[in-house]
Amino acid sequence: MSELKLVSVTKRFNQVIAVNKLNLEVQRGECFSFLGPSGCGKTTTLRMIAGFEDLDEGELLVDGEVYSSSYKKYYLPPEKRDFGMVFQAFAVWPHLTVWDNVAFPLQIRRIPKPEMEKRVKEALQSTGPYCLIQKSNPAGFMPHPKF
Amino acid sequence: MVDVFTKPKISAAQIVLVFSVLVLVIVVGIPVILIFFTAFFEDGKLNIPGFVQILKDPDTYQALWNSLIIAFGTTLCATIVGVFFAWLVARTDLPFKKTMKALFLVPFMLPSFIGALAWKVLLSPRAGYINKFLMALFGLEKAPIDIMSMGGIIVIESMYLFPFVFLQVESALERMDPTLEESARISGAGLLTITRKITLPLVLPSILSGALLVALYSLAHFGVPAILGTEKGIYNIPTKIYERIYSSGGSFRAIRVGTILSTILVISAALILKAQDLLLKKGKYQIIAGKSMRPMLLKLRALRTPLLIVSILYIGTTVILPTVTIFLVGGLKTYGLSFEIKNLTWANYLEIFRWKMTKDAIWNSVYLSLGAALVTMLAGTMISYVIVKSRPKGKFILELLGVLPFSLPGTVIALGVILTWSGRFGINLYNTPWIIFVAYIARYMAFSLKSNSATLQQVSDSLEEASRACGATHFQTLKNIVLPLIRPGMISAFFLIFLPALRELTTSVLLYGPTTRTIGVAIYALNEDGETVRAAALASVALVIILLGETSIRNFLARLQKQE
Amino acid sequence: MSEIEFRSVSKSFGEKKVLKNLSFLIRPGECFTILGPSGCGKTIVVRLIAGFETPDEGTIRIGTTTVADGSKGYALPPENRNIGVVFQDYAVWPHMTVLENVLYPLKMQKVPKEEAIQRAKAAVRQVNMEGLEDRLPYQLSGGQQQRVALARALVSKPAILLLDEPLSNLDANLREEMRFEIKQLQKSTNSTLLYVTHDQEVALAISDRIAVMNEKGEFQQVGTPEEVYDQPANPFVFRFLGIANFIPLRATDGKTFLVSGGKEFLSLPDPVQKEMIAHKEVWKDGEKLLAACRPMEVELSRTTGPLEGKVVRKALLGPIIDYRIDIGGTILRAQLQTEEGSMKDLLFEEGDSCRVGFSRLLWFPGNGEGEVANG
Repeated sequence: MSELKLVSVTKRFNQVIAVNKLNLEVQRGECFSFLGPSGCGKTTTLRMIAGFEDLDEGELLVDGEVYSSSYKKYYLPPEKRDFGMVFQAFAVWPHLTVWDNVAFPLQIRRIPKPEMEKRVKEALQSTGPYCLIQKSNPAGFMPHPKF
Repeated sequence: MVDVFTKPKISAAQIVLVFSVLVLVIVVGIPVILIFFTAFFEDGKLNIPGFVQILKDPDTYQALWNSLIIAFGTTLCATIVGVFFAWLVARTDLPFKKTMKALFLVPFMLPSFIGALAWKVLLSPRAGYINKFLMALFGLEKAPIDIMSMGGIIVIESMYLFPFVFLQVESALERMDPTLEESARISGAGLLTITRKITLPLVLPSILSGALLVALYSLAHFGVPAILGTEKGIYNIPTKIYERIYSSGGSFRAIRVGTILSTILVISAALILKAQDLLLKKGKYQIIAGKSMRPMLLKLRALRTPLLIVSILYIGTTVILPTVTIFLVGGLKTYGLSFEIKNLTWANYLEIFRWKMTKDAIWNSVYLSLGAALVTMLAGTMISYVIVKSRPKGKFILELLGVLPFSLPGTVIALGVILTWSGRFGINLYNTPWIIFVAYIARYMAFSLKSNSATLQQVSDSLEEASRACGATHFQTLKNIVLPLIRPGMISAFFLIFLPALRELTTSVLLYGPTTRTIGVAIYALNEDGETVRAAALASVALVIILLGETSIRNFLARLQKQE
Repeated sequence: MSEIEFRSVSKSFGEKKVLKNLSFLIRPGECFTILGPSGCGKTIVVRLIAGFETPDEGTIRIGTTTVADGSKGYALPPENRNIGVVFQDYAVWPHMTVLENVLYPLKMQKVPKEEAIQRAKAAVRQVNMEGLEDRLPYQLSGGQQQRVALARALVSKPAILLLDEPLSNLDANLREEMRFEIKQLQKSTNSTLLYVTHDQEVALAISDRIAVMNEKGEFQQVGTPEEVYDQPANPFVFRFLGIANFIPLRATDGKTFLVSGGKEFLSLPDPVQKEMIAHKEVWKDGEKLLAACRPMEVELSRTTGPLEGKVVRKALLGPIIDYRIDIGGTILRAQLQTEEGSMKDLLFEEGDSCRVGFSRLLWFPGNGEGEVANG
């Protein structure tokens, strides 16, 4: 688990300032929540941390390493940031099986098969019944995809 | 206790149902049955060997084979082009997107046989203007491009059919939930991997759906193969049917050959539609995003301008070039002259409005399409209401009969109508405008049903029930509540039929008589007779009418939409 | 103001028999609510009364008129029944203005124009929509559309008013406001009102009598809000009227033991209980029974109480703290006000031990319909 640091992060959409000089430090192992009314900028902040939006001003550091900086003109794309993200509408891939959905990040990193099987099993067991893995059942037809 | 009246034995709903079934049976069902009957039965007896023999006849066999190749080639090309441009518009930072999107749909508006005519003028091996230009430029002896070939047919058809794929794929790409791709990105996947593993599989149903539609239309196409292929002896099924019937003066044997070929056509069409249906059901993933978040766009960088130029060139070649050519050729004093001001005249255009043949053709098309659109709209509304709202048993017959025409190409409907209305049941409409009228109704009923059903489904039951609860009878409810609410759908259905009917060729070419030519038939006939200039002039006039029609209707509908 | 009577009404859709032999009587001028889960058949009852469906068996009477008879297969059409209906989706006609919507029933009754406009305007005033007569529905909010639907239902002075989940599409604040307005309107017009909903709050707030219906379309209890809330006839009713704790027990020798794990629960009757609603002959030796109470009726303490418990989950919900307590295999849901919690040192952490008692317990026989997960 890494330490996350936002330094004076600002984000504008046209004339509107969505996030205004935000400073934030999240410690290792901490469970940190953003609570605010609709449209306050919390989703935008999350998306900047993930990398789907880039900050206009300020810096984002993870474990001391700069992921994005307007001063150094540096931006690390999301696929290289090594985060895990759960989206509001789940974003489970309907055309892939449950197993393939969970294994996807490991397949990208070309983790060897036995290790992959072990890790997928662990992940599914910790969030729900393992017996629901059916390799032939597309995830798109599961009633409550919360894996 | 106040006594109540007893429920009548037969409800009004049932009467309307029976009536609707009758209409559909007479207009759609009987023609189709007669086609199959004529194809499989000879002298009242089942004759399969005869059926097979005609198929094996080298002439018909070649036509079948050609149809297959053309359909296959067109589908392939149209899909590649369609997907490419859809992706370009939906997923890159191509400039002027809105304009591009609208322009890519223009090929839809042009009757493809008029386009074929233009391309024949430009690229025919003997007299094509572009060929002559290239031959002069490079000192060639033979024309470099021969559009009157299988390849030519495939290319031209792809040009005008790719919007089917473009529309579906572009829409799917635009509406796809961007978080599906974002979650792949955060899992570490780069753009190529995402496209391969996530995006493409999810839009595959749309791609295939569009491709299948292209295949369906290509199989059933008359105009392009007729103009580019017939002279060289290249026939597909619709043109072969036409050739047989006209070269034999409408002999029964020729009609029988026609029905046999039609059967093949209908079976193929039905298979394609079934495949499409299965595909769409299977791929019914919820990929449509609820919130309006834009998907991530690929930055084209250095390729931006070149690709924009490519797109513009494409539109220029497929839309502007043929149109300009038609107008110019229509203005030539004699065919073959170069396009200089001294060779151009307005006289041809004026003649179109004075010459009886063309005047009649325009008038025929206009009143036939208007009439057919009106009748089909009204009948379609009534039948849709029965299908959507009522619960009497047996409405599946209606649904089946309603959807059937979708899988019947214009040629097949024309044949069926000939078989039904040429004296068999005591009524002979052949060579009268009525036979075309009936054929149009059969052809376009499916569109009316689809459009009206969609609108009716949006009128929730509770709106009608609330009216009943306020003291209105069923009839009053229909008048006060349902009709005003479905009016936009009805008007939409009207134009959905009027415009295509106005410019069609495939159906009326088999049904016309000396006084009942339509615009499409007149253009085609003039071309057949070698009167290229007059054909082009009439085509230009037709284009203007169509363009005026399409734009004014679009504006009208847009204004209606705003009022909602 | 008429009464409504159902006599042995049955209705099936295909294979499914939704209503079986249903009989009840709604008194004139009464506000009667059918409360039940989605799909239980309560909407069918409304549609049968309105005339959008015909019963397969049984008769339906409104006032002195038999409007439907299943055995003869006929039903008086809706337009002849003199009813007012408010639908769940309001069903306000989008192509007519507010005034035109409200005028419609009067037009159908051929009320002379002058009088009709007067009455329509009065109805619009009655639902606090004065000034908005010329608006089209798309210009109105959900609550405003609902009011138009109400005005339209009332304007023809119908004998009965039928409301099918009219508030479920509104947000919480508006719902509170509207249910008060509906009640006011009913009182001022003296109509017989049948209200149908799955929301127990609304039912309790406005009804003269409530009929609780289960998924099979059977009335489990018919009574006043107080009766139904305080003296539930069975576990289903209890569970439907609010968050319920159910404790499966086995009775032996005048004592009860938890089914899960076998620990002793309470002896019956227990002098510690302040109030116990005895469900007649509930406990027979060797028999299974169910004790039930609301989360607020669970009394927690650090030191005193008949049972031992362990806190397995804690959630601060703002003004209320919600605990899950394990009393020996059975999990209870307990709630207390946060202020009370901090004042009485009852802010437990997960894993803490505590003592558990009850301020009130209801008793039901057997497994009943309460054999479900608690909470």
